[in-house]
Amino acid sequence: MTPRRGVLVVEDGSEYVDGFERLAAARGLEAVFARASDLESARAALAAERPAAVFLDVVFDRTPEASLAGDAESLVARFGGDRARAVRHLAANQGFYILDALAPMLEGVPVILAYDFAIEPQRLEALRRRVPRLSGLPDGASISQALETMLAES
Amino acid sequence: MWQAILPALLATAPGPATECADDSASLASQAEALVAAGTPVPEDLARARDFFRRARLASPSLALALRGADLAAAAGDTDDEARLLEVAAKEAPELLSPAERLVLARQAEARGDRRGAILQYGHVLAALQRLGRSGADWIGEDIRRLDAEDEARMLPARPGFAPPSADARRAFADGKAALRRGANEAAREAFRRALRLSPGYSEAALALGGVEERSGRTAEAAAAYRTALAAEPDGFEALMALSNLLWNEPDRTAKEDALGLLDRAVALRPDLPRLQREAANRWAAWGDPARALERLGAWWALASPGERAEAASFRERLRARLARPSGPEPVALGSDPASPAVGAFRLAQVYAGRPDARDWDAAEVELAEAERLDPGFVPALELEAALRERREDLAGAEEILRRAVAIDPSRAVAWERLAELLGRQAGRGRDAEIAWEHADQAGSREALFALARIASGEGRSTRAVALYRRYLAEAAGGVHAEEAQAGLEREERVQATLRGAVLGAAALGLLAGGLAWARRRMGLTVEEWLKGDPGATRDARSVAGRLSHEAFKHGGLLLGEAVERLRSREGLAGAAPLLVERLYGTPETPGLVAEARRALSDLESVARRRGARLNLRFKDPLLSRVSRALEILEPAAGDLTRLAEKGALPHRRLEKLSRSIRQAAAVLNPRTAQLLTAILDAAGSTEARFERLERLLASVARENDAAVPPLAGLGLFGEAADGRGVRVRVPEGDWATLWRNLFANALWAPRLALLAEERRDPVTGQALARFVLFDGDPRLLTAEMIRGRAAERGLGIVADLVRRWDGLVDVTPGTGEFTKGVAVEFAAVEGPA
Repeated sequence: MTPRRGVLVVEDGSEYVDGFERLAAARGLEAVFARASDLESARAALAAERPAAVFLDVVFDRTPEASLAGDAESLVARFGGDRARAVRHLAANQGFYILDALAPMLEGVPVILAYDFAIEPQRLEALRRRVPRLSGLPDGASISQALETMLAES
Repeated sequence: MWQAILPALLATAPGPATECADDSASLASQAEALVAAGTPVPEDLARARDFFRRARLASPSLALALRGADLAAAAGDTDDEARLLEVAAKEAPELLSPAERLVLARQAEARGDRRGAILQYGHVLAALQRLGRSGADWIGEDIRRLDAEDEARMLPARPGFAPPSADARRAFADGKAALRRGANEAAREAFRRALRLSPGYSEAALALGGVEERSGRTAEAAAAYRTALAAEPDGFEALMALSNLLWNEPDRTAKEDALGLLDRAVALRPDLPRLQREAANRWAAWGDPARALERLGAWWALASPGERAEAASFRERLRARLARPSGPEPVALGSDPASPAVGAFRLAQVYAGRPDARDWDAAEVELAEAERLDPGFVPALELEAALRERREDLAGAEEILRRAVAIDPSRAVAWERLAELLGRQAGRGRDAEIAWEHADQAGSREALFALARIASGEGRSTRAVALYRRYLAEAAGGVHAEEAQAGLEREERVQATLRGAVLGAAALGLLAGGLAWARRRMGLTVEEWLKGDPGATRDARSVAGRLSHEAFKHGGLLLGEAVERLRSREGLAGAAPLLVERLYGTPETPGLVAEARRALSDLESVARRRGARLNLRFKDPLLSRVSRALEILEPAAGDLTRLAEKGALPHRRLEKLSRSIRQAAAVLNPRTAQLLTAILDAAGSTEARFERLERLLASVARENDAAVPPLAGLGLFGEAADGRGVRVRVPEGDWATLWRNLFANALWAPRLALLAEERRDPVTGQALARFVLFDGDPRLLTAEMIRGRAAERGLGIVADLVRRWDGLVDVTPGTGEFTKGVAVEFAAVEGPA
């Protein structure tokens, strides 16, 4: 019997994990999905068990400010004391911040970031220097393609 | 100037009285005795000042104020001197020269009294204008700066609140349903429940405020509006609601707060001329012609020739008041804080806020007293009407409200209450509509929605559409925004149907063809609009981002999956429940189709606010396909729901549904998002090249009659980089404006250097472009000064533009002859690898 592959999905809602679970069940795929809603829970999940793949959403606008990853204070200073703008920036780019913080734990783990790098290939290259097995969500990909890519990479 | 006439004035002051040592005249006399013999010793001077202070308290007079100022000056107490001169200036303004007023302005500014400083500067400006002297533009700049600082002081910090929970949203929906059926008490309870579940739920707080206000619970309404503002400090609706509520209060502090709130609302929506005019009216009523004129000036630019003609006499009156050297004029309003009725009214408010009917009796007694003291005091009438309504005495409430609006026809809240009262009575619909129309004229946004619903109910579709549009334009974040949007779409469909019927009856193919041709050519595409107005890209990008996220990304994932199922013969049935839930929503969430519709409508609203009419449905090559895809999905809801529930559909209906899904999936996908982003990028980015900036510097120098300082290029702009440019995410016009202001500040430097470099955000990997303009200008400049809107040096514009385009601005140390550099950083468009 093939061991079941574990996938960690990091998102502020449950849209992706719900979709993956339905698809996996419908197709009889040997995959289990764990959901983490922020950096701390993702870090705990990674420490408990190394997943076969990680799926990361980018925008976390439903996450309380206190749970957002990233150095808010240095961003506030960078934005000239504008805290609201700093928090907006963190929420809108949270996937990148979580990726950055988890990078040391993601060695050899395929990671899919829900961001289309089609017009920014150099940005993807720059991020791959820290997370070599990082991919974006390709243009036009359906949720099942995202799932298949993730499982194929794992 | 005033020192020359001081002896004469003192001679007219009351003479000494020996019997009573505490009367004003004898106190003044004792003071004079202490300072009579030449230069007094400090102790005597202090005692003399104390005697004058007591004399003024016993009997204030111009002479005593001036003498007090004189002695304060002798003691070197400039603050007290300024304060006493201000007292004297109110009574006899002609005694102060412009130079003395300038001193007063400086002192007021130094102690943080911005309003006092503005008043004094206004007098100086008026005096100089009367004398025909020019060259005092800096005073106008100072007034504007102080005004902005005063406004900024009132801006609250934005706290963080979690989004409302599902339970809170359900309670809010219950409240709105209760409101629709006129059950105010049930609505109030539901909104309060929503707020208990999610304390930062601004929509619920706003709705609760509305219910409380209409029930006459002013304090509770103000608290609810303040909650809404705390959760969303830029909430336009909450700002307006609280401003209107406080303005109607008989309390100077409340009115002052109301003015500040209205100014913030105007700053948020400069496209609404009605607001500018309202602000001008209120500042005029408040007694500040300088600020009133400034707001009227802003309105003037947006007003039609007819409106300007009507307002000309108002403007002249304001100018005359500004030129007249007098202090602030008293407020003359139906809620005058100086009314003798205020005390009784306040007591009545407290009694009326209690739940016990016996307290309401006490409130009515106080209100009767308030009315006796001042029959024209409208807030008392409004509260009395609210109490009558609570006791089901509708006729009595109506009679009182009619008296209130007769006294002050400009009070929107009184008209609103009257309209609601009439609307609840059978057979009074027409009367209610008339009252709503008056409320609309008085500036009520609630009236727009109410009138739209009335028009819609009576089949007056054109009027309903116009009113719904006005409501959405003027109260986009309002309590009824969702209903108004739905109502507008419904009415537009009705109109489209009616138009279709008329056209069908006419059966004139040529005409139909002509109309089709026209509707495909009228209005603008998004690309055309942004080409003509690249500054709109930022607002458009935010709406487009929502459209991309909801419709193209999430919708694309869902529909793509459905198409794959169709292709693999897995069938749609398994995916149908998820599709129904995500596409058409649940009682808690609106669904992708409605979200996408709303985003398209918001995009049209953004354009409309900036004076452009978009034709997304027929003309825009990209978004007309999106509109069509949504039109295909909307009628598919029934079949998809049935498939989700029953697991099967008749063959022909399943075929039709599959076709619809495929057609929608062909459009609603990330590719469309990419094309939309490309349009926005093209309009919202600029190629930054050294030669262009060099030419711009030369042009700025010419405009300022200055020599062009030599400009060296560094980094990407250096010789080694071979003239490479970098594309920044800032539209061309804003880019040029930003550099015009930076260059204008550096023209007097002996030489300049401009560094350009590309870098990447270390966390997000985003491409960034950084530019540093180095100069040798010895004047102090810090990043805080730039961000603090140093208007006199044009850097406020730089700070605004940097903020608008999500950039950064900083001042960095230079080397050698370059003492410092101003650095700006923006997102860059990725170039070839």
